[in-house]
Amino acid sequence: MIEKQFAYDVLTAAMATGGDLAEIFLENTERGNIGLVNGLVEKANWGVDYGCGLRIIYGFSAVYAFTNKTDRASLINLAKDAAQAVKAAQKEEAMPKGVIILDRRDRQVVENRHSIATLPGGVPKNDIVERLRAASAASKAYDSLITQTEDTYAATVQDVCIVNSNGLWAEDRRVRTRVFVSAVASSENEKQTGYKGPGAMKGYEFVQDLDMEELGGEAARTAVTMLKADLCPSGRMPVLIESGFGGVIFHEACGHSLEATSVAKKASVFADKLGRQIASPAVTAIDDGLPANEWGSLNVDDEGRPTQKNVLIENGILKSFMVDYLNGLKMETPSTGSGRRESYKFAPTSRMTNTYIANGTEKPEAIIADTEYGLYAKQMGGGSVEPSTGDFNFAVVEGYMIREGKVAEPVRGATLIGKGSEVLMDIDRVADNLKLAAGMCGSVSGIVPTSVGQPLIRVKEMTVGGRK
Amino acid sequence: MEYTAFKEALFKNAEAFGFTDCELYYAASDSFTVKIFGGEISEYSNSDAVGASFRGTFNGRVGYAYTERIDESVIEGLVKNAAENAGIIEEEEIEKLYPGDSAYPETANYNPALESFDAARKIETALAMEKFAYGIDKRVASIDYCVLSTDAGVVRIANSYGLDLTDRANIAVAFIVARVEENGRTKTGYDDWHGNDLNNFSYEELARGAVGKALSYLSAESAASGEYPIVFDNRAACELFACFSGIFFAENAQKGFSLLDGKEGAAVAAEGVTIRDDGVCKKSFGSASFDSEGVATQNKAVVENGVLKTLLYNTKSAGKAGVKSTGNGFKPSFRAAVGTACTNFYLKPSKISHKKMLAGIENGILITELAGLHSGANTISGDFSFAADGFLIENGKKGRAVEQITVAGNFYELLLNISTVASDLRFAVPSGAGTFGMPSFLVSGLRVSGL
Repeated sequence: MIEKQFAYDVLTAAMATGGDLAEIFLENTERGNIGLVNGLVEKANWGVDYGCGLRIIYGFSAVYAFTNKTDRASLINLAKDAAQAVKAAQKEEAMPKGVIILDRRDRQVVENRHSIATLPGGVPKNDIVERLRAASAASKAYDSLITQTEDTYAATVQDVCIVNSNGLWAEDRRVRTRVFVSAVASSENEKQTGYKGPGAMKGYEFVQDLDMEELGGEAARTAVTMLKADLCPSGRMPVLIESGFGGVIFHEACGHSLEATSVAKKASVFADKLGRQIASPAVTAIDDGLPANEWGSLNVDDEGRPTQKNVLIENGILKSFMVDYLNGLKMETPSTGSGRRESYKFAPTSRMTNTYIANGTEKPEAIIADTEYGLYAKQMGGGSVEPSTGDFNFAVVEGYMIREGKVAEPVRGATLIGKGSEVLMDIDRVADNLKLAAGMCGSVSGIVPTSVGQPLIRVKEMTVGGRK
Repeated sequence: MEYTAFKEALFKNAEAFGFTDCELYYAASDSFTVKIFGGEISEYSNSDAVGASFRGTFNGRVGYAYTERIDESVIEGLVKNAAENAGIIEEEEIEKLYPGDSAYPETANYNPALESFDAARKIETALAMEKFAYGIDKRVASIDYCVLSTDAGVVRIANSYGLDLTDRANIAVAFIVARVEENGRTKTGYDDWHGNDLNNFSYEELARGAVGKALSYLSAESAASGEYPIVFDNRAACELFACFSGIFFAENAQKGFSLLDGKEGAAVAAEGVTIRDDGVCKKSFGSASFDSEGVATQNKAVVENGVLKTLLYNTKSAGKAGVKSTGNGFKPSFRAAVGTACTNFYLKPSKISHKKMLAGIENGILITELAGLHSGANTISGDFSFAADGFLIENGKKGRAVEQITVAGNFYELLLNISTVASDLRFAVPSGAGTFGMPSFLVSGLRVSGL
């Protein structure tokens, strides 16, 4: 995406005032999306995101600049302005360091682990519409209480080229496809929504392999069940959280607090807990950027470093943080391939990829049978956390009461809250049915695709915020 | 490539392709941010970005495509994809380009003086702000975020009917997250400031706000579960209304995504509730001369003394309802299709002070922070359950801090149950969904879950 000499000249201009590392992040992203409301196409869009981000690291600080203009004069000017900012911020004048750029044949190439069968660009739009329509029809056919459907398709092809002054040169193509199927069930004064949102680092083959009717039916089933559900009781009780998107509990309660973004400034409850027990021995948790075609995977992170499998917690003991290059300097820890950003408009920082609680040995049914009373959160929604206190919250999309070891009546409108450090210690049972699910995660470097996951787990006691 | 040359080449190509009309929406911004941590600049950025969206009518339907690359190479792709997108649109109500209004209101969102406040002074201000915050109290363990940013933006809309509009705005935003520690307890406090004159900015006041809030939360404990009278302070109230603002959009009502469908003229809120959406408001920074379709913005009552006067319309939802657009046809970004958003959307304050409002409450909770708004709300049914922090209200006075509770209810019911509105109207930082202004208010009958 950029010539060697051009990159050299830009980085040399960036390093002229004594920066320690300069980095170019070039991006071209094509996005297409189609949205149906009640089975009719309401929105269709296509576009190109394009630009260049330039970062200069000096000491533990960074200057960041970006532009859409990538001609020679514009990028050299961008680099010069950024270098001036470095100069102004430094207390002492520093000597320029050299720029190393390797020849193509000497560059380390990370093998592509994500084979793509059909790129989104050439897919007939009518085919996409027909498949979305099938989901909508299945939702409506499920029950006459279904009054609205929304079905969308979104695909992106992100091409990036990352070059830094230490000789790193990485190129990567990220092809992602997601569908979002939702249904609204209505009674006279009440409306409830159900949805499914699978995604993968795949091309159109992902949609072709999906059973759209099943997705539409499932979304409708949740909506109708919740429409008929009673209000969730409030108070403290045992909570069972189902596999798949249930993993959002670990993402919020713990994941963000293990990112170097907050750890490096000691703004995390887990900042000085490496090697210590932070979770119950039943919990092993992993962030893994490697799995082929998984939604949150990457060949290289947005700093050009190969992603890896990071065991964060092993049998309750904190083993590793998720670390990007700059925060790694502060922490004296190498990057774990966790540097991510939404686009060239954001400086990268440490983020999650595919983050999950590993399988235990118990059957899910056994854990349910062993619970006298509590809440069973079959499907979770999103949540958020304040990393420095660990206070988190997330929403239950589809919940049921557990009575005498059995899943009983459905309940709606529950939010779960707690403190990360406490809830991790209170996970007392972990099942063996691990599943991952696609999500979008927002933080300081923008919104990035991440997967969450877990097998069914039980938390001894949590605050359930219902309306009753 | 320059804007005018790009526009002309694009329109020419589109007409040759068979588009019967076309529009270019162009947004450019210059943004500056400095983050301070530990007395040093931890991040500094200074950037410019442009984006353009093409929209046009092809075979009677409107198609979209956008680009951040403003050069000859993308024009063909834009036109071809917009035509393909137009080809699959099936909605009954046909979207149309807007020829333009005869007059547009003036906005005062652009202050040239902000542009002359240079980077060195902004850095100096941010450094001083962090230093001052550390010095306020010895329990300050860290200033986790100390950020000053400025943004200058231009929006242009031009179409083949000869419309050619330009609107400019600039804004400065500063915020602090202070972390305090005492007896092994950690709490954080956030405060922000926004405006377009940095000479009016008191970083001392901002720092005191953030640190003071963090300190006030140190005493926090959960509260007993139960039903309480709840006061939302003006910030939490802004977040709550921003979350549910979509219920006032005609397009949502028409699709069955809002229970306000068919309620124009009916009582939907308590009598003391008047909500206005004002396109050009001097007290707020969310003003716009025109919306993303080129329709002039208006100042109108949305709810007056509890009665729903109008929903917010874009041209398409207005066409469907047989009314005129209210000038609320905004795009959340240049990339997106025209949707609906608020301008300066505010709840009219009363003359009752915040203190006086609390004085009438024997046993209640004042909510100052809400979390999980993106996930804890069912924006269709109005049901919500949010994590919250705040203070007890005991015998008419603010008491100890409260943490680890949820507050749950239904937004439609909440509108009807607002019993007192205070005088402390405060506008939040403008966002893609609009700019919200709220005084604190008291509402009965919400469920708190805690101990």
